[in-house]
Amino acid sequence: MSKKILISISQDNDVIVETEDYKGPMCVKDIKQLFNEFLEVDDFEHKAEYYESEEETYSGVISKL
Amino acid sequence: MSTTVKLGLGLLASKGILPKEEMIEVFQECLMELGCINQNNRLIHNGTIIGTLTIKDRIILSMNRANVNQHLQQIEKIRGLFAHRAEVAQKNYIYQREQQINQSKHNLDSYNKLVMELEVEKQVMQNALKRQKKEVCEALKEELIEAAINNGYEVEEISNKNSQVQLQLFRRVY
Repeated sequence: MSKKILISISQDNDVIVETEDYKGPMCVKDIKQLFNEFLEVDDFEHKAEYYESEEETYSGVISKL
Repeated sequence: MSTTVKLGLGLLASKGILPKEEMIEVFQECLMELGCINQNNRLIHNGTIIGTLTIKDRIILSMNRANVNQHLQQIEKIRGLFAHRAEVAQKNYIYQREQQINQSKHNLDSYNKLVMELEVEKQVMQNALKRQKKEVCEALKEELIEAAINNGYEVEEISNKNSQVQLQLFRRVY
């Protein structure tokens, strides 16, 4: 399993960055980190996966009878 | 897809082309020569804001994507003039460093260390100058690949569609 960042650069300086196989806000962190040495990136468009959680964690109590 | 970012980017000065102070000085001279102004990191030409400058180890111009096309010619002028001026500034910088290093010849260890450091610096500068002379799209691609590798990604360049460069960065999760 791998998380992907896809970058398209056109001849007219248009750069589109998209993330794939991410769930939750980690994608924003990774893009910001990647572009940190270039510029501040803050104009994100989020899709449904962004609002899903990264991992399902069980937080209940298991009791043995 | 989970998130998308759309940017209008121009790489005006490549990373490592000159030490930061010299890079900024040469860049400002180029802007003046071309009738541009850097006002609080806003690049202005003929009273029009072209975009916002981010000056770190390199100089990036970020623009409103809707207006990028009308500024392409100006961007190329800046990049081209900067490449020419930076080449001269590199020679001056290397000459000055060599003069300084020669003064430390009495201490052989220190001298050898400085000579080696300068050789590495020269190589970085030459590579950056080559990149500066490439098309902006190609230069930006190369710098993004370097940044991605430094951030732990594997990079694959995928087929060129409609003159577009496409990069796929992936980080394996185990």
